[in-house]
Amino acid sequence: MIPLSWYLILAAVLFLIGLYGAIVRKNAIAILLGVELMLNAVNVNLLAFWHYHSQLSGTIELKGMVFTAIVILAAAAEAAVALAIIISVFRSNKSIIAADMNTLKG
Amino acid sequence: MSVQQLIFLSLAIVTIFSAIMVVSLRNLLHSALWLVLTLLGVASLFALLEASFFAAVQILVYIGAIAILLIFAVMLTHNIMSVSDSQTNRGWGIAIVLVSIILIALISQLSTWEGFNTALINLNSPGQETVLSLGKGLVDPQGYALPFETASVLLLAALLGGVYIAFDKRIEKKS
Amino acid sequence: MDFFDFISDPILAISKWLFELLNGWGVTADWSNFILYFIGAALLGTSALLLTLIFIWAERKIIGRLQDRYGPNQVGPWGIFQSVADMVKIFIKEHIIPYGVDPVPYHLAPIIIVASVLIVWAIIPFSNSLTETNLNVAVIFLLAVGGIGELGIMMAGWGSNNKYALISAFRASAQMISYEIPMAIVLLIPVLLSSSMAMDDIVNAQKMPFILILLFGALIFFIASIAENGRAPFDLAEAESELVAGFNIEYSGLKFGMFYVADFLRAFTSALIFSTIFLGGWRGPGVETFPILGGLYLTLKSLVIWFLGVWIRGSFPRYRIDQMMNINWKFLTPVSLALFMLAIFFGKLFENYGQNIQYLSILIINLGLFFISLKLINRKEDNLEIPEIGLRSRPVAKPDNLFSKDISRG
Repeated sequence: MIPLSWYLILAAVLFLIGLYGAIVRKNAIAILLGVELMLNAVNVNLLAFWHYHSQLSGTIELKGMVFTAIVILAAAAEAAVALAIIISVFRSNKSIIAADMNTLKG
Repeated sequence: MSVQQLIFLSLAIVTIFSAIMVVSLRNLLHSALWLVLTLLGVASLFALLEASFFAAVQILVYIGAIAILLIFAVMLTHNIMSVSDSQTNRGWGIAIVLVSIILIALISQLSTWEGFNTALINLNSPGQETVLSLGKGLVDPQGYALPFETASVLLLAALLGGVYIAFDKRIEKKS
Repeated sequence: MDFFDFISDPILAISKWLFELLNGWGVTADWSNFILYFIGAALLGTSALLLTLIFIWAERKIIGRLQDRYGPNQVGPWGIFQSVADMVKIFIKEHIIPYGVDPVPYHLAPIIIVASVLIVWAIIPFSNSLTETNLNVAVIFLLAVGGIGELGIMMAGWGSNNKYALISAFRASAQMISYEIPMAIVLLIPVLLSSSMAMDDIVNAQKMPFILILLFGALIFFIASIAENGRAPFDLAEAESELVAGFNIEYSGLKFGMFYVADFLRAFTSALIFSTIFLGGWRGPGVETFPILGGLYLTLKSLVIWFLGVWIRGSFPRYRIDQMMNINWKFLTPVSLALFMLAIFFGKLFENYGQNIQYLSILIINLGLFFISLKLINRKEDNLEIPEIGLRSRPVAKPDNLFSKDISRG
């Protein structure tokens, strides 16, 4: 059977790869890809602990599942709004390099 | 090495390799496609963890909606950064060092917890038990009805906001 | 295993025999289960793809007869080897890869589209004892693999390095994403009536097939699955005269063959899903003693639904993209939402009076909503103003006598 540690290490590695992507990339959409990776790693972590606690207590725990559902919902909402903003800024500035979006005007 | 462990190892290798490809490719569309593979790997991990509902919801929501939205956005803003420019900024060396330090710190601190190596065995929940309890918990006033309703208001706000922000006002000005 | 076991349920008997064989060789139960699943999946996928040849021939013959012509009739008696001839032709065609194509999406797209259709065969219960995998969230899985199909179409359109393929891919994926919504909402009603998302449980709960209870819901699901498939009258994305043949314009040879196979296989797969969820799947007289009859009943029911789909394909003109979107967002989605809410509300209300009253109330709601929506559509059509273009009224050509065979009429 699969130890809990394997899932936690996998989630940590995924999270840190996403963090690296979000910090290092110039393109705004690439930063969003890194953020999505981080959210998925968080979901893996949450569900691994859900399984662990359900196994310990013998009943199906609700907290892990509800938290995961809310994270998926929030990720969907955030991706939609972030992409709308990026496309809107791209229309006026013609650039999607995140470092260029540094004025509040326009 | 049991079948489950072998399946987990192959899924983990696929997921991590795809994640590395996502953050390191120059061509943004290829990054988005590797992200789809990562999301599929994560969905399979959910299925291994016996959260089958979340595996299906992950494919439905993430791949069927978010990844397609990302691909649309990549296609609409294409050819702006030429592929020969570097696509990482100057701080990539420090970022790698920082990330490795955080990884080592995280794993070493987590491994001191005594539950770290417990083997996850199959929860013998028959049939629809998991989904049923999730459904009941999400609409129970003593359960999690409030976060559920708040999340739906959040989705409504995101929907309206997204449409309004991305609306092309030049069409209105012409007519 | 004796003869009766083998006759009544051959596939289960063979798999039991293989399991014993592998155990005799010393393979652990875990691994031999895994190997059996693998063999089953390979056989299912291969037979699904081979069945497509028969369906392509049958569809061409039927559409030919509907259009008052013979279908293919040259190659073999009644043209049954036409598909084989087409297959050979497609295999030996040159793979023309246009310049500037993005190789990763271009080559992966046909594979992903065929995969998203074949994967659905894994969750269909073919008989009492025969499901490849009894997934407990099968209904959401159905919707999820529709999403993977859309991804394949977008990759095909983008990878072709062709503006028209890209526009056509956008239209096709918009159509597929939109029509998933009424499908998902209507699919929830059988889930709630059988209190489970697993296909086996939905089939087991159909003492009375759900189509007799959910008439309007089945109609909405049927229309939505035809549109999801991209068949006529919703085949704007890939018809030959629209946008230079759509997103698969730059594909030739075997890759185009994959799109073709996916299209026809998807028609039969939607028919299989419809018969499983609404018509009772493998249920029929005599399946308890002879489980193999279940597969026969399922095939017959889905052939009827498939024939209905082919009949519709040969009869209706094509919708424009804005008409298609209007049908979905202004008719199908509100109606399916209303149907879902009312059916579930009244179904729960009458639950204590017994199952028959519950089903009767849901049937009344279905019929009521059907007639109300028909009335609303007709009233809208009466109010529709057809604008007169031009200043003077144009003469409208009409024949003098519609029923005379006189050539000089009008």
